[in-house]
Amino acid sequence: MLLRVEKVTKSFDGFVAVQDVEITVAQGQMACIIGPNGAGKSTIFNLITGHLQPTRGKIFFRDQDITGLPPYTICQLGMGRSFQRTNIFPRLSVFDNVQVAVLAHRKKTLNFFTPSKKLVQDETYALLAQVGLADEAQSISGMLSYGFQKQLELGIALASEPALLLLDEPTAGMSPQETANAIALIAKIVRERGLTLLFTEHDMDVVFSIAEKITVLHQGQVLAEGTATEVRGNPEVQRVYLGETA
Amino acid sequence: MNTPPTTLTVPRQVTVPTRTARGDRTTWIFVAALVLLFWVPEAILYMGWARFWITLLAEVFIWGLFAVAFNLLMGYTGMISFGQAAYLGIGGYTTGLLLKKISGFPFALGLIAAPVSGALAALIIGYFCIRLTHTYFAMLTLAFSMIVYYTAFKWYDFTGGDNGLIGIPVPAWVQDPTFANYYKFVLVVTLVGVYLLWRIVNSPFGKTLTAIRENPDRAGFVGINVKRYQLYAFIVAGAFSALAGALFMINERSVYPELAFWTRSTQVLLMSILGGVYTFFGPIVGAFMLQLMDADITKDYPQIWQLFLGSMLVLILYGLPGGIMGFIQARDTASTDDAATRVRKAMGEFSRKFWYFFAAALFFTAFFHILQAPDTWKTTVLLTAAQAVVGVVLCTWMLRQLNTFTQLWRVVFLVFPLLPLALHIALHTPLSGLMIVVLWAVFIYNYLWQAEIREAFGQPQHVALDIAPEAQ
Repeated sequence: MLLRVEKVTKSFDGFVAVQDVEITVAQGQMACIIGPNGAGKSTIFNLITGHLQPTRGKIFFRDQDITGLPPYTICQLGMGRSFQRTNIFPRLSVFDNVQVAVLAHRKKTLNFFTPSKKLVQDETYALLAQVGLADEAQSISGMLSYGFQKQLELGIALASEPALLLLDEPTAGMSPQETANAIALIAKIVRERGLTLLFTEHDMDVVFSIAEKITVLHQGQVLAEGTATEVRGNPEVQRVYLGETA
Repeated sequence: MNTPPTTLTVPRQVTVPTRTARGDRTTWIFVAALVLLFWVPEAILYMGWARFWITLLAEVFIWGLFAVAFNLLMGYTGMISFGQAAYLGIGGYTTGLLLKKISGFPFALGLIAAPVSGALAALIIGYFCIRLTHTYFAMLTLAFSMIVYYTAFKWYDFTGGDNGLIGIPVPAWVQDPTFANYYKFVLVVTLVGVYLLWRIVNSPFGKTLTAIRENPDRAGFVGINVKRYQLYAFIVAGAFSALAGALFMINERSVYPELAFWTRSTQVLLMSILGGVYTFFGPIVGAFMLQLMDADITKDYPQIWQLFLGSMLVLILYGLPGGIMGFIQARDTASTDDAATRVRKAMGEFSRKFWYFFAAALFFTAFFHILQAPDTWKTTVLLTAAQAVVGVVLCTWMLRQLNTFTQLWRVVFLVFPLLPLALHIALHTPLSGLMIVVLWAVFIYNYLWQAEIREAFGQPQHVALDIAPEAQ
């Protein structure tokens, strides 16, 4: 198992956001967490990436206990993530956004005197091309359209050459056409790079189209787990979640 | 994931190479600045101007170095320190004490000791400060600078207390009567310091700091230890600030606790804001303006020069929120526009700013004049009104001509800034002339010398294209 979340509970001042959640993601799998608003999806992401500390339970990445490690260490161990709210470096150019991530990954950030123009150019352009932003390299990233910003975020996440990619609602706020394109791009990159993917999603079509394993979350607890067909057939799931959106 | 295609009417190459070219030129700008500025004392002496200008310029350079170092924290890392003067004091006292207490201590070593002790102090102070954020961070830096100040102020046995440390031996060659050697010494040291900082902000380390400023959360999850890099930035800023402090000490051959007083911290903050915090050279421009205003206006209005400073600051904050250099370097980021549209937009922007500054300059000049000589208020108002009418007619006409972009007008606009400058010197008009000069300089730089604009004027570009390498 690449990622193993063991009986993790997180409470905020007595409010239990997630309770005894268990999630495992195998190497090369495309896994998804679904659930209605407030089910605790983003909380779980933040727990995995070290932005929050679990109240109870443990998290293992490549069989190493990563509970309580700071986010930058977890990132260095081989995890990349995107955030639900677009999270880029808004006043930097698209190129700089990705370059700084590449530099950080290659541990070149303590280089004080080499002009960064002379470093990791090709790698950065390759990444930009992969996420379809080669033409926008010099634009100020905060001025990009929403879809481009999401692509950029993916580029930043990929820059640290992660083994596990965590995407928090990668298609939130997109039109159906944009969503389809985004998912196609993500699936293509994940396959090309042999990544393991864990993402959260609202859009059921998206989920059922690419997720190999789905975890349904409801009020902070795991309601069901399995393949698309299994989850779809689960009466509990239909009641609390699919019923709502249908 | 392709969002609806944005039509790109301007080929991307137009913007890409200008950046690269500008970056590569900068080293030469430093060399050119050194060569040009090196002979300024001779020029001043030859012209028979007051020697005071030589020391003033030297002071501007030191302030410039200090402000750039400070801006590494404020502009680049996004941490506003209210206690940067502490390192000024630490640097000044380190060099001063070493040279004074140990007889025969090598001057060069004493100078090098300043940044070293500044870095050490910043390591200790920063260790505590970076644990807090925002206002708390700022307050803590202020608190530490007060500690440094009062230590210097009260520790009579060691620092001389409020009497300061006087009669510090510096080599004879620094203290020639015309201050020319001192000026050159300061020039070389500050230029080297600023050049090092320039390399630092453009290095991966500098990029990392910018990323932290933009989004510490995201920076953390590309694998950057945010707190640690903030501490590094603190140390670098402290080291260079201490170097500036040592230079201040050398001029007076004495150090006083005032060097570490909090007003200096706010002064450097003002310089950065005036000049533009998101630009590298902005703080130097700010230092230059502030020191020059100080010297120039104090002469005419000794009691109320800070009133000028205040009004100037209000003007800048409202009119040019990115500071002067921020305005100069601003580029229209809507890259879908073609060159002609950009010129039009830039023109509109410039006209708006121009009128704003024109009106404000007139108003403040009149206001201060009335404050100084209340009984002449009628004449002042009448004169101001006349200036306004003539100015509006002239400037409207010129701005209109500008839109035609003929060769002749380009030359006229290149020469035009000299006119108000000449007026300023001849008539001792405070500030207004100076501000218009600055604006025209801004204009020329921004709208005539940028590559896009040159292209709009129909001049072929000779910049070697450095297009993004084709990725697989």
